[in-house]
Formats: sequence, structure tokens, C-alpha cells
Amino acid sequence: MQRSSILPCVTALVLGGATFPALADTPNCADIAGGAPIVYGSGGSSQRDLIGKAAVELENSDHPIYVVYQDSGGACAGITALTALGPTAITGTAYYWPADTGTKTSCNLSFSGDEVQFAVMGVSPLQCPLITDESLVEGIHDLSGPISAYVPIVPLGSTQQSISAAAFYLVYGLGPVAGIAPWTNADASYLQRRDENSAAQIVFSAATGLPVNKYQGTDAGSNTAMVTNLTALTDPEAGLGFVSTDVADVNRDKVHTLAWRQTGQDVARWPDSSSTTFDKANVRDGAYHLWNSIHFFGLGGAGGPDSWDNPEVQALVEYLAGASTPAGVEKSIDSIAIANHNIPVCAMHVAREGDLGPEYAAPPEAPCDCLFDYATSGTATCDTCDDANPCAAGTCRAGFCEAY
Amino acid sequence: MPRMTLSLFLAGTVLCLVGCKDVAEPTDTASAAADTAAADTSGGDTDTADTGEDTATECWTERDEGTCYDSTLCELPTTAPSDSLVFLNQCSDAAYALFDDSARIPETTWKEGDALPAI
Repeated sequence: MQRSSILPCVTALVLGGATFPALADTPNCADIAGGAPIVYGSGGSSQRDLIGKAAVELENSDHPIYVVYQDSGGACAGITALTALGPTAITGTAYYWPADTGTKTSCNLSFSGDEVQFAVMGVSPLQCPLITDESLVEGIHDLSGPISAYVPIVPLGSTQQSISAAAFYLVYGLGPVAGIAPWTNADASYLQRRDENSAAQIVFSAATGLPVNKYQGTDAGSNTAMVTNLTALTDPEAGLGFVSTDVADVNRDKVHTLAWRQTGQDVARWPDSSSTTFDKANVRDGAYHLWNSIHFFGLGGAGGPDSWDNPEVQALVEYLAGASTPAGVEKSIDSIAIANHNIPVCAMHVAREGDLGPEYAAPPEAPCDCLFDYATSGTATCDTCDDANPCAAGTCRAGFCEAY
Repeated sequence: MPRMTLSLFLAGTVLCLVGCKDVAEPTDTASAAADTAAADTSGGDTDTADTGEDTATECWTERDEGTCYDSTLCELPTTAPSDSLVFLNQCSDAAYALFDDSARIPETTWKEGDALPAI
């Protein structure tokens, strides 16, 4: 695929691709791998930690691949880079995860920028402002992987428990003048929002009908910043925001989720079976509306529709999507997704067409319900098994007797 | 489509766990009139291919939280497109919260049957 750079050629010629020490004591991204291949990506902040956990596995595989990921541009930044409809390179700083510690660490990108090779986002490309036609993503592999759910959140001190799609529409569409108590504070910082490139905001717009670029409030810039900003409010009762559940779940000491009542739904549901559990029961059986598959993208190659432009990108994207597992990788993407508070496809019992489209029952081919419930609750709800202790009924998978 | 009849008496958001009783005041008819939860036939259901099979009355059961789609009595749709409301309103043992729009949304801003205001 032909791609264009927005940076003046003279810049690249003068600098010769040299890295620039943008932050003291911060390594250059180009130097993190000890000679192993590095792939550069861009996309949503919701998926950053999932990428990081997968990156550590690939770095320790038989053929190590290092991953550099930038999430500051929002979900759509990655796919617009791959389509060359926006900047094709990322600049400044990005994240990587050292193979020995797995700790999220900043590194300096090259001064002239590093070409985006893969993209990640929580919705399909057509939800992005610049992706106006399917033909614009031709030649780009789009693989779906684990599930992300999205939740309204309020500061921990708030007494609110639920919100409806109609109330969300009015609060974010009209702001405090809508008079939807308690979200009536005139200070815009009490309504934390994102922008039209955010998967979370796109999801809430799809659910409510509120135009994605018409949100009142303050742009937090990222999922984690939204949590931080809500925590700082002096009147917790008046604060409102929204994030993906993987971010909300690890911040339950700062914010709590609101149950969501979709239009046409008669009670509000949490994504989990209660406000204090992590089982995603209502997502997995379709009773909670705000969920979507995570999409992973990489450029196709010149060898036909199944070819890839870069084999390392193919390995990463296929691993993230559960399509293949590179040699030497110990953890499946299912177990990584569970650890990241996402939902692997093997624990889902519904599927949907399109972003927040109609649901239908879709039992998993090889269920991992027992594993998921154990991992998220700490309590085994199924019999355990191994080669010496086979299941009396069902199929032994990952040490648990699954239903089939 | 059969729809839940719950929350007619609710005057606010009521947190409710499995098996709990309706704790709202049964005499609160003002909010009952304004509550759009049970009578909203205009919004949200955009499933154009709903054949009606999955909404047969025998599929719906009265529970503490109202009428819900009982997937032990009738199969949930297994192909797309389908009526997502049978999933969203399916009977469940999970905890839930009841939200009464009328408690928070003034009728001057939005009332039953009206389209949401344009932005």
C-alpha cells in the first residue's frame, strides 16, 4: 500500500532518522530491543495494557518481537495512520514493556517519527471521522479479538447507582441546562468526556444517538485521565464520566460504575452480576448493552488478500486476535484478556453484528466459562481436572471441567 | 411486544438485589404517569427484522422486577439480525438497579412520546 508522510522530506534527510533525547533518562524506542524487531502501533488508551501484556509474551517468545505503542491520539489515530488519511507516523514518546519486568515504560520515538505499523481500537474503522467509506480500509487486515465493555463512572463518593440512555443523552448533549440531577454543576470539569476519536465516546454515541462530536464537558484525553479528573472533583455527587471496564475495574478505589439502562430495557444492569463483582455476567449473556469487540489492524502485503506487509505485525495482530500463537509464547490471548479485565470470546455467549448491533446467541466453540469465573472471582464453580483426574462430565479445558 | 410493567410505582432510582421486593411507594401515581419505562414504544428498538416469534407471550415471565424474557421457556435468537430487547430484558439472577427517568428528567425537557431534543 502506498503511504505518504506528512513530514517534510528535508527533515528526514537532515536528521537521518536519528533519535532525539526528548526526555532525559528515557531510552530511545529504537534501542529497546537489542537488535530484535520492533513494531510500532497507535490506537486507543483502553487497549494499552492489553497490548502491553501481549508484548511481554512476544518479547519472551522463540522469535522475540518488541512492541512500541502510543495511545495519546485516541482510538482512531492508528487506523487513520494506516490508511494515510492522517499522520502516518507517531512522534514524541510512546510506551514499551521491558521483557524482564513487563512494566509500562516511556521511550522516545525518533525525531522524524516512526511509521505506524499496527492499529488497535474498540470499534470498527467506519466509526472514525475520517473513515467515510469501506474502500478506504481496503488492503488492511481487520481482526476482531477479545471484548471490551464500557461503563459510566462516578467518583467513589457519589451515591448514584444507575443512568439511562435518555439521561446520558440529555446530560452530555445539553450539559447542566438539561437539569438532570445531580449532574447540573456549571463547571465543565464535572462532565468528563473524550472526543470523536475515542472508542468509548463512539460507543456511548452509538447507544444513545448523541452525535459523537457534540458532547458537553471537558475532554479528559484518555481513560486513565478521566478517572484522575473525576477523583479530583470537590463535589463527587455531581461528577460523571465513562471509560472501558478494564480501566474502571482497576480503579474501583477511586470511581464506581453506574448500572446502564438502554432504551427499551426495563431495568439498569451493571456489566457484572453486581456492582462489586468482576464476572461480566451481564455482558457475556447479552443483558448489558455497552460492549464491543476490540479490532486489531495491520497492512496487507503485495501477495494477495491473505498476505501481510510485515511478518512481525502479522504475528502480533494474529496473536492479539486469537488467530494464532507464536512459538514459545506461554500465555494464550484468552488468559491475557481475562487478566486485563477484558472478556475472551470463549467466555461470551452472545455475538453482535456491527458496533453495538443486534445481539444473537452464540455459544463459544471451546468455552472457558469456568476459567473466567475462577479468574474473576477466585472461587471455582466447576470441578477441576487434569490428565490423572478426568471430568465426570464435560470437557477438561485449562484445568476445569467446562460444559462441553 | 410484551414489555415489562415494572417501575410504575418507582419514584427514583432503587437499588435492588435478587429477590428483593419493590420498595417504592405504591401510591406515587404522579411519577407513574410520567414514567416512560413501561410505555416507551417509540425509542430504541431499531431491529427491523423482528418477526415477532421471539416475543410470544409464553416466553415472558413475571418476576419481582417485572416481566422478563425467560430463555428457559423459549430459545434466544441464534442468528442476526435479531431483537436485542429479548437479551436486554431476559430473566436473570444478576443484581440490577431500577432507573426512573421521570425522577431525573423534567417533563419540560423530555416527556413520554417526544423525541429527544436536538443538540
